[in-house]
Amino acid sequence: MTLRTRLRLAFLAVVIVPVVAFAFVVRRTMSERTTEQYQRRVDALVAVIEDDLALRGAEVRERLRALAILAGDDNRLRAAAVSGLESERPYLLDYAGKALHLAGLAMLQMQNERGRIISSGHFRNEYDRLEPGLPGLLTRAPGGAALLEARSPEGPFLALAAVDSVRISGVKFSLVGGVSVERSFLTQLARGTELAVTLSYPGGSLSSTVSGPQSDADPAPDSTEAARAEVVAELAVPFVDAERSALLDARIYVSHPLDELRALQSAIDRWFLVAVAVTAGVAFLLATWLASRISRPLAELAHKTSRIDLDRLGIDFSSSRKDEVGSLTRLLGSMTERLRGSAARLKEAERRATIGELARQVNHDIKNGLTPIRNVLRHLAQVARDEPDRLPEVFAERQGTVDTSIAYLENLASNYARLYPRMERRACDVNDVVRQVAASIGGRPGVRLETDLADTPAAVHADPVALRRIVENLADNAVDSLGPDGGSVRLASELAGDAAGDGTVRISVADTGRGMNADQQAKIFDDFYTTKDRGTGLGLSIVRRLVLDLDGTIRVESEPGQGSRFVVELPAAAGTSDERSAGGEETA
Amino acid sequence: MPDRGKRRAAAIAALLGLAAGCGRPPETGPEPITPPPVTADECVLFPDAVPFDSAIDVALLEPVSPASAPRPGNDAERLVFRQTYETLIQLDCRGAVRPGLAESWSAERDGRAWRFVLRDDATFWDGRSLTAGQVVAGWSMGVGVTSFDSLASDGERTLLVYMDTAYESVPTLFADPQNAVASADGAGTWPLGTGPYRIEPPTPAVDFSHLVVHAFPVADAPRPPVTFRLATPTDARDLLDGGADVMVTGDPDILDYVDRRPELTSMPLPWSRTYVLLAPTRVRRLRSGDSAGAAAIGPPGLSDGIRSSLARDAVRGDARGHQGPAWWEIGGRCADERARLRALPPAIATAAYRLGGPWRVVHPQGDEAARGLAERILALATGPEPEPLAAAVPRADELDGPLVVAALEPDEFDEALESGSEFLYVVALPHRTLDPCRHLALLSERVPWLAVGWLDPAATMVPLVDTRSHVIARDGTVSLRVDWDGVVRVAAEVESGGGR
Repeated sequence: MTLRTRLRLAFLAVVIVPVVAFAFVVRRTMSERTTEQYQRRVDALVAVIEDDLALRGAEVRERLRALAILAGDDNRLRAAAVSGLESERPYLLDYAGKALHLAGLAMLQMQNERGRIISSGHFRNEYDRLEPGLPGLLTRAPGGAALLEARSPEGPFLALAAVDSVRISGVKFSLVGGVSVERSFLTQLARGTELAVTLSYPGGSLSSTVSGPQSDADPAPDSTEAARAEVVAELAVPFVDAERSALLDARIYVSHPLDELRALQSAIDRWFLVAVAVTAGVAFLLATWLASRISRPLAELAHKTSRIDLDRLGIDFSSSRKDEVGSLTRLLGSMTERLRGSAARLKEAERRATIGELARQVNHDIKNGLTPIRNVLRHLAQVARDEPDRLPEVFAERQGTVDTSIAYLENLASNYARLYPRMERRACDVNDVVRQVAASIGGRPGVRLETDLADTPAAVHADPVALRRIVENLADNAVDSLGPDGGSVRLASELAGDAAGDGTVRISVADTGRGMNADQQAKIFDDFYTTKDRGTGLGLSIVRRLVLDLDGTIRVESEPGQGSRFVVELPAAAGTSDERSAGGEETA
Repeated sequence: MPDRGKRRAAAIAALLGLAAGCGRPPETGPEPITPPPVTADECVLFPDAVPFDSAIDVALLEPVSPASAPRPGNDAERLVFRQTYETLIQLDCRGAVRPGLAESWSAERDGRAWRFVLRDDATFWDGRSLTAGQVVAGWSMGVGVTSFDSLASDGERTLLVYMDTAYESVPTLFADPQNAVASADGAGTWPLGTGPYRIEPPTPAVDFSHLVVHAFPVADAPRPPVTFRLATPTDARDLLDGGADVMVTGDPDILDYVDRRPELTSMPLPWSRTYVLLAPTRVRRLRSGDSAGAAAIGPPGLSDGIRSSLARDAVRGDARGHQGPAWWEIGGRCADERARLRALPPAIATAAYRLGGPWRVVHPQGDEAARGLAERILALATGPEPEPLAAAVPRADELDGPLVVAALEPDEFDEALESGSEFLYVVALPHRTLDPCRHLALLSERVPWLAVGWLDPAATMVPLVDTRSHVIARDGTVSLRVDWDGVVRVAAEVESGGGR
């Protein structure tokens, strides 16, 4: 995971976690507050509903009381009900209907002492039906009122009923009356609030939110409704089962829909999610920007650091930043500067060591060259002294030795002179050098020479002699490495490097010779190390030194029996990369 | 005794006469060939009335439509059309035949053909003389089902009617308002009539809820103008307070109010309707053979006590337990029609069908008597002792749903009646008819499942109660003549004995 990614994640976490925590706390607090408010309102409304029910019952009783007083004063009713006056029977039959309208009731029936209905307002022609137990049940009902299922021609309906009585000529007549309990009744109980009032009674149920009575099988609040609402109160209301002459309990369930509360919570959740998403987005962008701002100089620093080499210590680590990155950059610059000094010292030490070694080698080589000459001279001197006549003979005999030694010394001097040639740098084309070398070694028996040159001029700022010596030396070594059966030597040049303009020219010399093992590869550039029978061991050492002097690098890739490949990378001269780009664009 | 008291006494005497004489069905046997002399009789109500110079205000409690003319569909149309359209003959409350459009008549071919001579002054409202050819054309166009074979004109004033069967006396069916004469040749909305009153203007107001029909006496006949006003949905008693002179109603509240108004008098009219109970389920059982035999030829058993109880308590208004035989119960008559009806294929499904919902006892909306009967039948059928109804009403406890009463709009009721889709029907039929065979055919068209197979309609209809209306008149304003069916017509001064 990159530093940039870590920075992004950390920044997101730093921003998101507090926001989510804040949202959670706010949501919970709001939910609790809202629920508390709901509960207080519901409690108040439930109390009102209880009062309303009691009030409705009281109203019914008051109306019946008034009707009872009027009935007692009605002479025609008296004549019909008590005296049985036939002509007044229609008046009696119609009496409850008119009284019902007068009192604003939905049901009213007048019963004699035996419980026979003598006049019914809601079902005029139900006269003579016996319901002896009904008045008593209503009288025993708590609060003096109860629900009952009243019959009407159009079907049964639910009523909140009470009972009163009047005595006419000593005969007691009961007045059973009530108001209709239907959806509007329950809606009025709910008082237009979001509360839902559901009445469940033996035989069905009725809801302020569901039209029409429901079936017996589902007396409780509708399950779907219940899923969206919570029952907050349950009230018992007496219910008269006239058929069984029993006083039972009906239930009023007060529930309030959670839709609004849930909608509020959903809205809060939604907006918090939106806020979190927006915050996360902004945080991500900010984190990206900051991560980029923090990591880019580090990445650049890493890139520069990756290029540090003992042979390449001129990388610029200057920085105007005053932060830790600036300090680190300057620290690396300082370290590079120290490395540069150390490298110089190391070079100097190496040079001195080399000179010392070279002096010893020169001493040794010269001694080796001079020793035969000295021996010949001593021999000649001895002959001149002891046998002067043989001097010409011996001289002729030993002249070859002297000549050989002198040639050896001349060769030695020539080689030493080549160790430190004078550099005259200028822009020169590697391709030209490679072509010249290829031409010089071409035609040798058993050698198959191949060239693969860069399409564009590969210019380097170098001494052309040194450059040729590098290529020539490598090419000679390649040819020498081939066995008796010969092989191929491949000379190649190419432009390499990054897009920033730090271009290099890569020269490779590959052969199919005997190759080297790892130990040989580690020593191949050391002075006087050679794998040849008659090599001086200075060729590759000189090549390496020349390459370094040209600010380049050299490496070898080799496997025993698989041949070797020497790769030299030299800084491209200014303009080479541009030409390469131009050439690339043209190619594209 | 003040004048008002005398008039009231005379009215009561007339009422007693109606109750004793006019209440019975008209004789259907031989009748005199020549019309009886016109004398002051008990069919004239309020004979001492001195008509005002201004028009008589008649309140109508039901809508009147020109589309129905001249054949009425409700009591209001019966009242209006009786003043404006005529039949060949008239039949008064005693069953006596009186001249109508025909001033004389005679039998031919042993009573199988009857020749009617139209009166000379019989003219339409536009002044055109009525011809026998116009009667033939009018009847051919609009009468539909008839009880006569064919008819033809014999000259301008003579009409020859060929009957299906022989009649010893003039067939009273020619007094049936279904056989009234009218001409559609006029430019107005109302068909032109020949009655003693003409409707002016012939194009009525568009809004029937405030219908006002002005009827003026034709030519020089000594009759006061009449204005018919349709009662608005407000209380009909407001019309009386507003000056209405005549109203026909059976509403006990209005009659009770009239009893408290000294200037108004109400008098009962002849029994005009019989309410019957129709049960498709019962018909189905009868036809499947459950009660084969006796049930096929006689009416279902329903005690007189039950009928009387229904009339006394269940119906608000003047009612009595049905007193038969009804016109559809008279055996031996209309044999051809009955045979033809029985030959029809069954028009009712063999099993009860119901489109969900409760089982219903249905009645026409607005018919209070039918509503009361339906409710009482429901109360008895669902009560602890339904046995008294067992012969007429299928047991309610066998139903798979609740039994309720439902009021249906007239069109909806007729549709349900024709299909037999309801549990029970309470239907009002005319208590009397002068053309029972034709009405039987019409009833069978209306209720096609009643008379099929071996069943006789008499076995499938359960008569419950008879009802009648009362006529209310403002004292001294108008004399009325009561026809055989309880419909009143404004009497001419010469009939009433009044005069200026």
